[in-house]
Amino acid sequence: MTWNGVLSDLEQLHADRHDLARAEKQAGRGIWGYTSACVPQEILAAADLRPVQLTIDGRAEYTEQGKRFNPYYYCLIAQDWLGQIQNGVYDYLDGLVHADICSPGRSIIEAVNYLELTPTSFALSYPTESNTTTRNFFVTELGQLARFIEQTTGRQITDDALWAAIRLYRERTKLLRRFGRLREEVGSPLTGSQAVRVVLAGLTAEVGRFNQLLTDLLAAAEGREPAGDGRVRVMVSSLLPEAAVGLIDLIEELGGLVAVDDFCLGPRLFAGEETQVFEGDPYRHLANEYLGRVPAPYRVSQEYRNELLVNQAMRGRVAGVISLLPRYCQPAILQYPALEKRLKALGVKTLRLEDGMNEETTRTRVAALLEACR
Amino acid sequence: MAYCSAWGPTEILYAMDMLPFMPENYAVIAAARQQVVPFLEEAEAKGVTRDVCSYCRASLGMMWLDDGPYGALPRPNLVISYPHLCDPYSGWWELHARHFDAPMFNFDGPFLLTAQPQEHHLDWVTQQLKDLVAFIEQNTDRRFDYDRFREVVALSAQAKALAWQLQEYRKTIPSPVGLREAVNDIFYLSVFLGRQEAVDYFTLACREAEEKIAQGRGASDEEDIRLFFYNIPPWYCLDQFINLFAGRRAVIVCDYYSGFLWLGDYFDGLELNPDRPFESLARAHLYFSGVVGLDSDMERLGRAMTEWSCDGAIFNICPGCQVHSRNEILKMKKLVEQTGLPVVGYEAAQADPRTYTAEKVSLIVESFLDTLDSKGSGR
Repeated sequence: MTWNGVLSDLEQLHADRHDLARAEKQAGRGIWGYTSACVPQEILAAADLRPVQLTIDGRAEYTEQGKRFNPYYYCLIAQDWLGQIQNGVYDYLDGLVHADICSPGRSIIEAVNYLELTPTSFALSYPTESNTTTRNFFVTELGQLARFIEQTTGRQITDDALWAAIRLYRERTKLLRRFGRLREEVGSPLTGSQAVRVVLAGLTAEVGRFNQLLTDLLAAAEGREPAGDGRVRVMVSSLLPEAAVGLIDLIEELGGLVAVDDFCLGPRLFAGEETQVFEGDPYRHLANEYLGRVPAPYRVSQEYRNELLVNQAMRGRVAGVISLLPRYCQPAILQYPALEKRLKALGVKTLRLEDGMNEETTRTRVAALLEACR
Repeated sequence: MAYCSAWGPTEILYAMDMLPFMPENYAVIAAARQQVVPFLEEAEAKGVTRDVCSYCRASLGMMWLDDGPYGALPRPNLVISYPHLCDPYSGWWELHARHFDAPMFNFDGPFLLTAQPQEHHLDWVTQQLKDLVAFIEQNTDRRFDYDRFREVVALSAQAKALAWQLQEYRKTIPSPVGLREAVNDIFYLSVFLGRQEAVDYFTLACREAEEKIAQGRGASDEEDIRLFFYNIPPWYCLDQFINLFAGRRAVIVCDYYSGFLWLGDYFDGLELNPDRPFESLARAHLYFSGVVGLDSDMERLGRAMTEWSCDGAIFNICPGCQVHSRNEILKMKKLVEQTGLPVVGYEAAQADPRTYTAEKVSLIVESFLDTLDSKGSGR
């Protein structure tokens, strides 16, 4: 497949995510939603269920509807997702699994459960640290999730099926790591606008299909011309790829190149060692892989997360870092001052933005940062 | 000295001759003494925006200014963080730990859709309490004594039983305890659990309540309207706020904060068992309202309204406090549907006086009480 053809297919996969999921449901497949990268989707896949990550739509009508649940000082995710669910956007879901990483997240799963907005739901407790006590707990908790799925769907989750799912998802991790390295290279053929759309597709597409397209994209990248020659290389730090699409497009329109990002899916899957051994207790394997490594701001130390971000910025040889903080995300807000200090000490320019900011203000501030970086 | 949140567990600290220091309590004191604004402003100047919890901003501001209502924050030997109890906790406590170069322990726990913990939830929290003991032993010269721990938990059980009795007394008409007394009692529930002072205090408070009941006296001179209060009150103008109700013969006879937040286990019919101190403390931890879901909260709200004979409920929409504001708008709506009683909300951050508009709150409360009067809710 051609470079542009693969990129277009990936973008379309995300645009058609709801229709594709509905079609699969009609064909008899169970569709389960999940709320973050902390949910081991492998367990859903092992039951031959199709995991779909909930994503932000961004329409004002949904965020307004979300305010019928939580007060205004909840993040965009909570308001938007609750609005979408209430409006039937996710009416194809047979179940929802939520990993406990923050209060806004809790507000979603408890409302879904209380009002029975999806046929069934599971709140997965997710420890902050990885140590003997938490790993032992999480192994049991993951087993409880598997038993819950078995009881709800009547499908059995065998260890063999779970190992097969783990292999499939690690293949995705491997491909995304290659994709990440390709992006960071000076002379990469990828723009940030293209990359964010690939990441978005990875959130919602069927994993086998996504792996195939990503393999094709990586093959098509060979020999292609650099995308950002002469442009200012910057990093965008934003928890939510959906919320950052417009910002990344704007940066590149103004002459920058978003060479690195830290989207949930990106660093969460790129972080840590690659899986080498696929044997033993699959639940313990998942507990070891997930705990302490998914850098959600609420669930890892500021030091760990800031180290990860600074290293990414350095590897990407960026002149500036633009942080798009989700408004009301307190762990992210508390983390930012230390990150800014470290980046400035390294001579990297910084710009702090918040979601919901006025478009013209954003444009002016981004243009000023790019100018300062030149 | 250990920095910990108001969630403790003070019993373990006292059993190991450690002193708890609670930065959020110190923020309450700063707010109550009208000294909090410079600390909030200092945190905001350092990039901790107004979207963050006012306790957190005040506490960090005190740290950075090296000042506080009774002097600067003390230097801790260790810090206990609670990443599952509140959104800013993990980052907030980490900033304290770094500033004072103190080791930090993450005391974590599950989130439960209903207050029905399973065995592995209980095992996790129980084991963490034991891990905390080991952490303190590793980082201080203090040693753990199991018998001493049981004695401390026995004192905690006595104090909590008395505190719960006091909540039960609030069912009496007129109620001998209003919001002012109830939320002040939280100081003893958070800081002194495990010490004789808490037992003595609640013994006295119960005796005073019994005397009032015997004499037919209430917390307020007159009690025509009984109310439930949800979320954290505005500490910087507690009297002013409560007087809005007292002036209209309305009394807050049950509240989320002193009732099923701190005494969630007792609210659900459980009690501490000094013979199984670790398991018992772990179970209590799993019944805090912050870590149980909407099903349990709605059931508790409904029970509170019925058993305490409330005529209506007032909800504080508390900016920055996401843990207690979860689904608060939905809760208000569902409570009306569930009970048929009127519910109203106003907005004020618990420790940031700049968010409190006295005229607006007064207008809301007055209109609400007018509604109750017109419905003939009075007694």
